[in-house]
Amino acid sequence: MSIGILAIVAVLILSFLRVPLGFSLLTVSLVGIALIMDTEVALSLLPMTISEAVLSYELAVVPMFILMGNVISRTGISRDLFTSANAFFGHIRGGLSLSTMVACAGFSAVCGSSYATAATMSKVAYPSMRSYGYSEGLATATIAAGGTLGILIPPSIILVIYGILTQSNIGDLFIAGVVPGLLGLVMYMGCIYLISVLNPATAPQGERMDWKIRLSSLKGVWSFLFIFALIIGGLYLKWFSPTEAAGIGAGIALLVAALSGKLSLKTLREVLLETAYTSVALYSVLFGALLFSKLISYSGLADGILETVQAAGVEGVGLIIMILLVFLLLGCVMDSLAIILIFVPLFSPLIMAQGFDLVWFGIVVVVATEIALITPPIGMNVFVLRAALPDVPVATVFKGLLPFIMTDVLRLALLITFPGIALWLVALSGG
Amino acid sequence: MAKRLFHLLKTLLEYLLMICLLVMVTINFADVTGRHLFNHPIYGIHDLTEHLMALVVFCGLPLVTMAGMHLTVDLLDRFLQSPSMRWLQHVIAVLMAVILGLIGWTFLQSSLEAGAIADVSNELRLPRGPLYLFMAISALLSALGLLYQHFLVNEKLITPPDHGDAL
Repeated sequence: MSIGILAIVAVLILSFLRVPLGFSLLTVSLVGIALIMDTEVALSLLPMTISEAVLSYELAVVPMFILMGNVISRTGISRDLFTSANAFFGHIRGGLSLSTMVACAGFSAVCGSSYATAATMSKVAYPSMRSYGYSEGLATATIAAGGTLGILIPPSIILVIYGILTQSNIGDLFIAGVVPGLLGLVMYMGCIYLISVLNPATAPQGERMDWKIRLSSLKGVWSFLFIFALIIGGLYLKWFSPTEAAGIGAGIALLVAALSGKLSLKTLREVLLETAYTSVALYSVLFGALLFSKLISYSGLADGILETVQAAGVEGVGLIIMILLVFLLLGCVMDSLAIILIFVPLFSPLIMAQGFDLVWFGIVVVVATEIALITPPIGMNVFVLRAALPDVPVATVFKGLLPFIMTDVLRLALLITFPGIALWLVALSGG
Repeated sequence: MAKRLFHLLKTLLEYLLMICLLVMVTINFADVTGRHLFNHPIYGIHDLTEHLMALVVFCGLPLVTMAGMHLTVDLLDRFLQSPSMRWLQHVIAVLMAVILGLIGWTFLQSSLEAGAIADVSNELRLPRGPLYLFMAISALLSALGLLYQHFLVNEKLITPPDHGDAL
C-alpha cells in the first residue's frame, strides 16, 4: 500500500516538474511494479499494456471523433452556430449572451476542447456582445463558462478515456452525458436570463427576427445538427457502436466539407495531421495510465483505501462528496484529463464496492473537474480568454463567473441527489 | 546529411499516418453504411482498424515527441523554463529517451516472440511480428530523435501542426 501512495506522490511531483504526464506515469509504474514484483514482470507488462491499448478497436473512436471535430471546426461552424442561435434568441433579454452560450455548447461538443471554444468564441461572439452594450463581466464569463459545456455532450473524448480506464460501456457513457450536458446549457441560460432581468443594463435586448430569417440561418448548421442527431440517435437505438458512430461521423463530416467546397487538399492535410498529433498525445498518456492502474492494483492501495474508508464509517453520498472535493481541489491546479487518468483507477474500485454506478460516477467526475476550469486561482478557460482579450482584467472575468460557478455546483448537487438525470436515458436505451 | 535524412523520414511518417488515418475512417464509414444499407459489412474490419490505429500512433510517436506535444502540467512553467533550470530539461529529455528506449527494446523482444510462435490477428490472421517490429523501430527513433534534437541541434525540428482558422 505504501508503494501505491509513494507512486501517486511521485507522479504528481514528476508531472509538476514538467515531465510529460504519460512519461511520469510510465516511469513510476515501471519502478513501482519492479519493486513490488520484479524487473522482468515490469518490462513484460510494458509492451503488453501498450499493445492492448493500441490494438483496441474500441479506442479507435478517439482519432475518428477528433477528426470529425477538426473537420467541422474548419467549416466555419462557430460563426454559423452563433448567427443561428442569435436569430432564435436575440430578442430575449440577454439574447446575445444566450446565443453565445448555445454556440459555445455546440462548438465545444464538436471540437471537444474547452480551451479552443473559449479562444474561438472570444473572437466570434465577444465583439458583438460588447458592441451591443453587454458588460465585460457577463460577456467574458458567458464564453469561459460556455466552453465547459461540450465535455459531456457526445462525442466526449474524456468519457472514452474514463470508459477505457473503468471498463465501462462507452456507448452508455455517451448516452448518460446527454441530459446532464443539456441540463448544464439550460441552467446556464437560466442564469444569464436572471442576471439580465436583475441588472438590465448589463445585457440589453435585441431585435426580434422573423421566421424566414430564422429558418435561413439554419442553412449553415443543418449538417452539424444532422451529424449530432445521427450519432446520438444511432447510439441510443444501438444501430452502431461508438467506434462505428465515430467512423460515420468523421466520414459524413469529410463528405459535407468536401461537397461544400470547404475542404481543399491543404486543409485535409492539416486536419489529418492535427488529428494524428492530438491522438498520439492522448494515446501516450493512456499507455501510462493503464500501466499505472496495474501498479495501483498490485500495490493494494485501492483495497487499503476501501478498508480505511469502511473502518471510518464513511459511505454513500458522504463518500462521493469527499471524493468530489478531492477532484475539485486538484482541478484548481491540474488538467481534468490528468486528474481522471491518475485518480479514477484509484477511486473506481471504491465506488463499485459501495454499489454506485460507474457510468453515473463518470458523469459526476467530469462535471466536477470541469468546474475547476472556471474557478480561481488557475481556471484555465479564464486564462485562455485573457490571452485572446488582453484588455479584460482577470478579476472581472472571475467576478462575472461567480453565478455560473454557483449554477454548476447546483447541477452537481442535482446529479448526486438524482442519479436518474444521467441514467434514465441509458436505462431507456436498454443499456 | 543528418538533417536531410531527418526531413525525409519526417515526410515519410507524415504521409504514412495521414494515409492510415484516412483509410481507417473510410473503411469504418463503408462498413457501417454497407452493413445497414446493403447488408454487406467489411470482413475483418476490427483487425484492419486495430492495425491501422497502431500504425497511426507509432508513425506519430517520433513526430509528437520531437514537437514537444506530449501532455504536460505547465503550472510552474515560469519558474521551470528559466535558463537556470536548463539542467532539469536535460534530465527530462534523458528520462523520456530511456522510457522510449525501453519501449523499443521490449517491443523488439515481442516481435521476435511473435515471429517464433506465429502470432496472428483473430479475423484476418495478420502477423503481429512485423507490426511489433515497426512499433519498436518507431520508439527507438523517437528516443534518438529526441536526444539529437535536445543535445545536438538545440532547437525544435518539428513544429506542432497549425490549428487553422476555426472561425
